[in-house]
Amino acid sequence: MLHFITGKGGVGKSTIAAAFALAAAARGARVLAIELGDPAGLCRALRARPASPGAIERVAGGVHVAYFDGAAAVAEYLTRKVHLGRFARPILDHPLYNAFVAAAPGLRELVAIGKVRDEFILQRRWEVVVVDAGASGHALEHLRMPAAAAKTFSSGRVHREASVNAELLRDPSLVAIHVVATAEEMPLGEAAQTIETLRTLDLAIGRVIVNRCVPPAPPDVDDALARVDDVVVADVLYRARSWEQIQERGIAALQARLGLAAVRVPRLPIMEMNAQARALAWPIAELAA
Amino acid sequence: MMATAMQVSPDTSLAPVLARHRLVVCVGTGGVGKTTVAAAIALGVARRGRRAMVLTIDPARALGRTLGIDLTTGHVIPVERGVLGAAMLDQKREWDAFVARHAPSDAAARMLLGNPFYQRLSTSFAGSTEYMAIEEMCRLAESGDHDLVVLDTPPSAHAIDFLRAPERIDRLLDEPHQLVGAMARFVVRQLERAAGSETLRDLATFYRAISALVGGVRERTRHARAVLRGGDAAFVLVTGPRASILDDTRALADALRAQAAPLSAVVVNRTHPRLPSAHGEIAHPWLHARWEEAVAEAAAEAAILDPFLASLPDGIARVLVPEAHHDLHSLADLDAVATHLGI
Repeated sequence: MLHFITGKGGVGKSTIAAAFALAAAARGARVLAIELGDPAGLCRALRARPASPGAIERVAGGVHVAYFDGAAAVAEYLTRKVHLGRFARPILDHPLYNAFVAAAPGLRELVAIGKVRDEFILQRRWEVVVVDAGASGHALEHLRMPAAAAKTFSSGRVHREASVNAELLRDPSLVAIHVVATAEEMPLGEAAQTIETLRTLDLAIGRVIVNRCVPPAPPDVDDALARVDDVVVADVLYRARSWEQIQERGIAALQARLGLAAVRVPRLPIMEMNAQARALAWPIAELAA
Repeated sequence: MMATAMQVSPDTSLAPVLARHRLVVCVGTGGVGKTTVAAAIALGVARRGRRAMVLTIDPARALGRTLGIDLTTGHVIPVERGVLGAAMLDQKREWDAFVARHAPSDAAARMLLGNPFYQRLSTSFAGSTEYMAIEEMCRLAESGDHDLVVLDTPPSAHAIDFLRAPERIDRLLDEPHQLVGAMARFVVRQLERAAGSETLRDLATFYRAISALVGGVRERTRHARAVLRGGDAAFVLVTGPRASILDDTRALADALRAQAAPLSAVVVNRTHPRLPSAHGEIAHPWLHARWEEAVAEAAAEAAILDPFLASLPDGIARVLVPEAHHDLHSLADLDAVATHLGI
C-alpha cells in the first residue's frame, strides 16, 4: 500500500507519518518512508539523515527512509531515462536548464511523484511506502500534477508517464491519501477542504486523522467542575473542558460535512518527535495495513 | 536605529519595537499562529490612534471572520481612535500590476501576461509569493496612508526564503544572456525531447518579453533588499512551545542574523501557565486526568522554553502569549492577544 500523509502546518503530520511507518515495520512489512521536500519532518521524526536526495537509510524500527527533492529528481530522471549520457553534466549545469526546471509547469512535482511510483511499483522491494507529502498546499500541488501534466505537456515522454502516475493515484486498492488535523477550527476546516479537493480530483482518499484528542468528557463533568474551589485548578480545568467541547463540536461538524468517520489519535505528553512517533505506532497500527 | 535597539534591555513587550519601526515582518513556521499575531499587532497599534495595516498571505478565512470582513477584497475598519486596514495579498493580481507598472509599453506587458511561463512564475515560482509580499509591503508603506504596515509572511518550511526572494528574482532575470549559442540550442533540443516543443517555445518567449522589464524590476529588488536589511523593518519571530518548533525557530533566528536582518522580538504563542504540583483533591477521573496532563505539560514546556529564551541574544524582546480558552472569534479575542503582546 502507498500512503500519503498531509495536513495543516503544526498538526503533527510528520510524526503521524513516522508512526505509520513504524507500525507497518513492526508487523513485519518491508517499509520505505519518503519525505517529499527537504529532510525536516519525517526524516527528523525517524531520526534519519540520508546522505543525499534519493539515498535510502535504514533506521531503528526496521524502517528505510529517504527524502526526494524535486530538482534532484528531475536531474536524475533526465540522466537515466532521457539518456543524456556524457552530455548530462553540461546540460544540468546550463542556466537555461535551471530556469526551465524552476519555471516549467509542475515538472518537479511530477517527477517527484513519478519517483515515488518507481520505488513503490517497479522496485518490488517495498510492501508499504509512506510519504510525508508536507502541508496541504504542497501535497495537493504534487497529487494533482500527474493529471494536470498529462494535459499541459502535449507530447513527449513526460505526457506518457504523467498518465500512468495519474492512474495510480486514483486506485484505492493501492493508494490511500490521509489528511491529519488537530481538533481546532482552522486545522479541521483545512482538512475538510483538502478532502473535498481530493474528491474533485477523483483521487484515492484514505482517512481523516484527528491528532492530539482528549477522551470525550462524561456527562457529570460540569457538575464536578463547578465544585472545584482552587482558582488555579479551576482555570486549568475550565480551559481543558472548553477545548474538549471545541474538539467534539469540530469533529461532529467535520464528519457531517464529509460524510465519513474521523480517526482519533490520543494526545500525548510533550516529548521529542521520535518518542512521540514510537508511542503513536500502536494507535495507528490498524490504519497502516 | 540598530544601535538604539541593542542598548535597551530585554523586554517582555512589543511596544518599544513598534514605536521604532514603520514595517513589521512576522516570520515563523506553519501553524504557530503567525496570522493571529500579525493581526493583533495591527489592531493594538490602531487602538493607540495610529493608522495600521495588516497584509496576510493565506486565505486566512478565520481572520476575516474574526475581523468581520472579506479579506480578499481588502477593508479598512475604523477602531477606537485609529484605523485598522486589512488585506490579503492576491499574488497573481499584484504580479500583473507590477508588470503593468514596469513594462515599457502595453504590447510588452500583454506579451508577458499571456505567457504560460509568466503565469507559472506569478503563481508558484519559488520565492514569487515572498517577493510580491515584500514589494506590496514597501508600496503600502511608501503610499503614506499607513503609520505601520504588518506583514504576515507565507507559510514556508524555510521562512528564510523570504529574505532571499529579491535575489532569486534577480537571478531569474540573469538567464536571458545565456539563451544564445550552440550549447543553448543543444540544451533546448534535449529538453524538447522530454517536455515537448511547445513548452520550450513558451520559455523562450518569456525571456524575450521579460528582458524589456529588467531595468525597472532590478531597481525594485534593490530597494526591497535595502528595506529588509537596512533597519526600516522589524522582524518578529512567532513560535510555539514545542520542541520541534523551537528547533526550527532557533535555526531561523540564526539565519536572520546571517542575512543581516535585524530580529527585534520573539513571540511564543499559546503557552501554558506554570502550575504548582500540590493541589486539593480532584475526585472526578476525567478532570483529574486533564489536571495531571496540564501539570506534566507545563513542566515539559518550561524545560524546553526557558533555555530557549535564555539563549536569545540581548536586546530582543521575548513575549509570551498564553493559550486562550477557545478559538478566536471576535475583535475582543484579538484585543486580548494584543494586550499580552504589551501593545
